[in-house]
Amino acid sequence: MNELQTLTQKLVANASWPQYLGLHYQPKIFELPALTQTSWHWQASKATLAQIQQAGGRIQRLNEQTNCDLLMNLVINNSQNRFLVEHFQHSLMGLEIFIPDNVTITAPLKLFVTIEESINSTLTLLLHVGQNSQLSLQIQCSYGSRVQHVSVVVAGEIANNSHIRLTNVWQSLQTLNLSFIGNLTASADSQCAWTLIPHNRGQMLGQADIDLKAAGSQAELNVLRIAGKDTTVNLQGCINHQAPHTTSHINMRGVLMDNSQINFTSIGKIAHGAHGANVTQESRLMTLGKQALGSVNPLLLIDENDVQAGHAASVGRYNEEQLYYLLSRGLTMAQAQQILVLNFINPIFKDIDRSLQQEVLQYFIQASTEV
Amino acid sequence: MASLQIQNLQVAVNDTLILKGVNLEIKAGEIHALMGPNGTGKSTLSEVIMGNPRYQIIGGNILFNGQDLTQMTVDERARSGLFLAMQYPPEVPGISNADFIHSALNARAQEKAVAVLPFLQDLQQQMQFLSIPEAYAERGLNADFSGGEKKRNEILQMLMLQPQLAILDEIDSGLDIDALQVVAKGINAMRSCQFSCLMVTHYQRLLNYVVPDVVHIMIDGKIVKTGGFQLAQELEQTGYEHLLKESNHE
Repeated sequence: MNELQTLTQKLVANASWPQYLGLHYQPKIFELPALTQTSWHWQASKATLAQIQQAGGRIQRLNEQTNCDLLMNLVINNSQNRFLVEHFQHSLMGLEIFIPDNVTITAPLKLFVTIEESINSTLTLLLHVGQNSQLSLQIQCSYGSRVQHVSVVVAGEIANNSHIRLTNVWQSLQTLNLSFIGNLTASADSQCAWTLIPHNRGQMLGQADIDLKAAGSQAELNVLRIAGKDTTVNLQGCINHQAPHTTSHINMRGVLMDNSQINFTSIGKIAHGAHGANVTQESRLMTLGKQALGSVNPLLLIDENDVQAGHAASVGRYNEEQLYYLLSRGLTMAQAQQILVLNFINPIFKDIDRSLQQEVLQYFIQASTEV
Repeated sequence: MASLQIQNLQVAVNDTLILKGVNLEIKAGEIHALMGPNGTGKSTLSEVIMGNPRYQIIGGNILFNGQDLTQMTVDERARSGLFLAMQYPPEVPGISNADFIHSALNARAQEKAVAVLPFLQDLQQQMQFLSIPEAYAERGLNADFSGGEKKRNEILQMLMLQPQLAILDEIDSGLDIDALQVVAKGINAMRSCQFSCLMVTHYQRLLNYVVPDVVHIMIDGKIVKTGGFQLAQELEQTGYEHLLKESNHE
């Protein structure tokens, strides 16, 4: 039994299903039964992996020697969260990505994690980026056809003056229930851009937090979700400003087709003493399906006077004027809708990797044909 | 055969009657100008021909090459050879100007996809012709374009799509002399026996550069006078007042 299992054993009796403002889920769907045998593998772009290793960094499977302090803190700070507690009751399965101080990895690192054989799976991704370092990391998780339940935890710390672009992508063609808890901690003058692109049919419940714990840190949290038939998404994104002169932007965009449901809650928290904070957020849903249901819940929790904060939210179909313009050039309704969806997701879409853009488009086209 | 035939067209928006029996005929190869004071229904006519769902047709016909346009959807009308250069083109940043035109050409071509390289060469040529900077091809559709740039982009689309009938809704509004000359250059380059055009315009200025074959004057939802180019020149001297008085007496 590892230290996480020992800790969570003590916590499980008092843990409960978390309540999120504006999100509605059935805990039973996400309860992880006992894990069956899991086989999985990972691969990364060879040249970038070599560059990381040469610089003294590493990407390796979590094992008994892995320093789990970050995960222990995550559990202690969320000790009543039953998803988290139950996740770490299982033996640790996942990856550690470690980048030392003063290392700039120029090319984007693409990491592919494939869970092959399993009914249920937990996956833990641990990330350490040292001071004055830079990394662009895309982690794509795909699941074999027999995988039904997945619990994913991402925990990371970004040291002083470091820059990270992290993109998490989940893909499955079959129905998959996914619960996700993520936390990144940003130190002084660090910059963190975190994009979540979950594309699994089925249910998703997620919570992504970024803690800006020291002055000058900046973060953006982006969520891009195209939801097809029989898909329900409940996702909360939260950025905590715990120090002065910190900046954040949350951008959550969802496209709802058919009978899908999406609820987004975005929280900008400014603690007392975090003066000079600049917090913006936008949460938008485009409802294409006649039976689609969505809600966006933007929240600003401010305990300081000298700050700037704003939010924007919308739920609705496409802009009729734009549609008319596209149709007036001879594009069919289906073609025009595709362009309007691209237009809607563009603020996040334009910054993701080209091959990932192609996959997102393919997913959208596939989901459209099932309507 | 008339390219466009409008017979006794009556149109309302939000239960208010705007067009009160418009009759208009445009033959293939002709350039027509439609003039009139603000609020008389000129833009309404343009939009109704294109099929803007905001407007309800209460009575009358619109025939394009003998086909009843009112039975066709907006995109069907466009694919049959109709084009509307809008007064206020919206911005759609999620698709580039080039990709948009390419998609529109593909929609017209139906089965056969339009080859990319010849398309790009043609686009580059037309952009140079209209003095549009090359970089604008990759920018989002009308994204952050000034009013004048949007109008030039409408003309670019017209040159690339080669419609049979183009309706230009106040293409001259907000343009300086240089931009106006470029726009006029584009319209004149379309002139052929297969191309007809209806220019909705406030001012006579555009007509100095694109000399129309026929001029119509619309007052209070009806075309009250039709003539040659000299009608526009007379209007410049007399204004609309006497026509408004005549219309009020009816």
